[in-house]
Amino acid sequence: MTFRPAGHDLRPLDFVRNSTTLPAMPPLLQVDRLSKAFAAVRAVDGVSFTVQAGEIYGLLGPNGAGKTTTISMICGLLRPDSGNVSVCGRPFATDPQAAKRLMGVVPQDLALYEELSAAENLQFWGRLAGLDTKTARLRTAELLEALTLADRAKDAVKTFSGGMKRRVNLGCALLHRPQLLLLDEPTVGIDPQARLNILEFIRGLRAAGTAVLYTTHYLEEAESLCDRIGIVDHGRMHAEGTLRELQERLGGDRLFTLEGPWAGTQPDTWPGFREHFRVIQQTDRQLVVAALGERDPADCLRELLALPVRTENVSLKRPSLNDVFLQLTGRDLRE
Amino acid sequence: MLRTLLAKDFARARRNPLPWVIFLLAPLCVAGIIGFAFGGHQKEQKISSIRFALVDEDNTIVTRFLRGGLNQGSFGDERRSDVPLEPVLLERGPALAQLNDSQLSAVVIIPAGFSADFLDGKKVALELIKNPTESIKPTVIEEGLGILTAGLEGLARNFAPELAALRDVLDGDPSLEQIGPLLTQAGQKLRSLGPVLNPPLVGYTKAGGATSGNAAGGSGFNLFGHLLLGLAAMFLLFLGGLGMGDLHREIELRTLARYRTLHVSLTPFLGAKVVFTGLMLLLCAAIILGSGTAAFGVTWHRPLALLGLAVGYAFFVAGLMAVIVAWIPDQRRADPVRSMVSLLLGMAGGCAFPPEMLPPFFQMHLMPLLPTHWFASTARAVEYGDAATAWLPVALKLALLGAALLALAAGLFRRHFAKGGRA
Repeated sequence: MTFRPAGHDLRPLDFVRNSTTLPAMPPLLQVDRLSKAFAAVRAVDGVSFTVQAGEIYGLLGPNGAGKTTTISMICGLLRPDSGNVSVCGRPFATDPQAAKRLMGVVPQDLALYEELSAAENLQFWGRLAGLDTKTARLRTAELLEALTLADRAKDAVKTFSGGMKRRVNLGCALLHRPQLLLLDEPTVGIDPQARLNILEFIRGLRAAGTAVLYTTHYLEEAESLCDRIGIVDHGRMHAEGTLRELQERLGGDRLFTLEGPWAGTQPDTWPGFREHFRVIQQTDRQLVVAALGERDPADCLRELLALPVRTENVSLKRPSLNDVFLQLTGRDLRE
Repeated sequence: MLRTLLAKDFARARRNPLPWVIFLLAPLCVAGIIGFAFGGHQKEQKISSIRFALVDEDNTIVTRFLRGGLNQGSFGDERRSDVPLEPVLLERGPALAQLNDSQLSAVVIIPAGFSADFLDGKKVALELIKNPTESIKPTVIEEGLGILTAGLEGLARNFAPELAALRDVLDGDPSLEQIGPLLTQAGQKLRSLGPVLNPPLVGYTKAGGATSGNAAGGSGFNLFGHLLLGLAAMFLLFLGGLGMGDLHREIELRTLARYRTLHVSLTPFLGAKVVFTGLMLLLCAAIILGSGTAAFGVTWHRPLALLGLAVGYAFFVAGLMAVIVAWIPDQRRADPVRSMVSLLLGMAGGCAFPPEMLPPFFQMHLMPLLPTHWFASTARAVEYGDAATAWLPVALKLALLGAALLALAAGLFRRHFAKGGRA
């Protein structure tokens, strides 16, 4: 991949990562207690997080969690009721135009002119972002190559598959090589192969130093792509951290699934259960529990089997993001 | 940036021209149908020649004199009236047969004994038989006959002694010695009447300043052209809706939202859309009026005035349609409103039919307020009325109104976005 984000020549990736002796750089994006309500509905409620250069920050949550509203406030499409957004240490509100110059926004919907070709779309958005005709044309060719669309450059977008349109949609935000890329569910509705291509492309952008804010409701994407993840639901940030940090909230590597007739039972009343375990999820047939404290899994298993209930099967698994989400919000993200 | 935005819009219109073509064809088809129905295919709209028969059953020297005058081959060419008469001399039977075949518009019969009775000062009557399948042409003949009988009436009342003497002369063997004194007597009478009759103290001029002549502007009336100007005014509203309505599509496509994430202001985006719509409207106006010329032979006598009016009108239409989009950003709700507004403005502005057909209240109180009427009436006056019609103030008024509407639209858009409305 030959495409590089803005500032690459001046501030290469190694410089950013190894500059520990220099004064700390402000985060590329800082969101501080952002709130927005539509009538009685609080779409976003005091959300805070930061995104550093060369980092992919994932906002994970179900539909209606407030992810798109958050991105809309960050890029200036919506005015927050309260809270602040800073880009490169400067408040967005004081100079929105300067902040927008550093951003590239990929909306969830395909914001493309379907009558125009892929190259025309890219060049158009590049020209509007301030590039001269020659540069826009040059970067369009580079981007189409990187997005593996060079052979369809002159075809009308309306003839493209969903995955190809998604790639053009992504490319339109990259012409001016933004330092901060806001991606609002960029892989919705496309096939797995096209999704992998896009994720790989985004990893390439991270490697080149671009800060990426990535919203998704796909657990696998957040797990495999994001350096840090913020879990949002009903407009609130429930937890954030690396995947490891989030997993450790549930007892590190130890989650036990007990199969049996659990309808109507109350595990917390079982002798010795509450002291060593907590329930993550309970259904009529399945009970997912996390072990408390740093204990050997074999000890945990013995303790579970010693409980005065009839357990048909016990299995050990690593906590997933869905388990974390489940524990934080009380509902399954896959529902 | 404006060039980039315009290039994008024109490229999109070029790749998907169908909506524009449909809206362009509509006024041509409607005007064409109406124009053909009224004979608008002729290059200049005039009544075709009126063929009528003169049946002389009296056959005297007086009626022969009259027939001879009518029978001159140059009669139609030398007439001062625009009405082309084509008289034929026939016997009663063949004349009525041709009338039944609709080959004639009317038959005028001079009954036997007409001359003798007239010269005797008795009451006489010419006989008129009109073709019942026609309306206008027989009426023209009837009106003409009315003028003729009024003239004969005046002659009979003022020259009774001379006419009686003339009858005596005609009954015998007429000679110049007998006729000469009669002519002298009649001449003296006419001379004495001269100061009374000439110059006429009461006259009329054609409405619209016929004195300015045709060369400078207002020219031969053309029904198709007259209709086309009004229909163009109405359909340019629809075309303007299509052009500015593209903002709805930009909202729907989320491209306007993407635009708003850039570091540029909204003004160029709206400005480009206005310029695009304005240019498309001018192009469409040229196609509509040009098609009128190519297909129906309509001649536009004052193209500069029409261009000026079209520019002002395009501004107004773009402004109006921008307000509708800004007011109702949801396309599904806006479409019927836009259609209704266009239709109402077109109809009430007298674009679709002659304004005189509207109720007096509309004509007196409503139409003067409607920009569609400003455009259509001025364009029609420029082409078919007074050549001195002041079109520039009307064009400026339209453009200023358009600018005011655009400012209103921009304000509505800002308020919509500030409230968190969908872009």
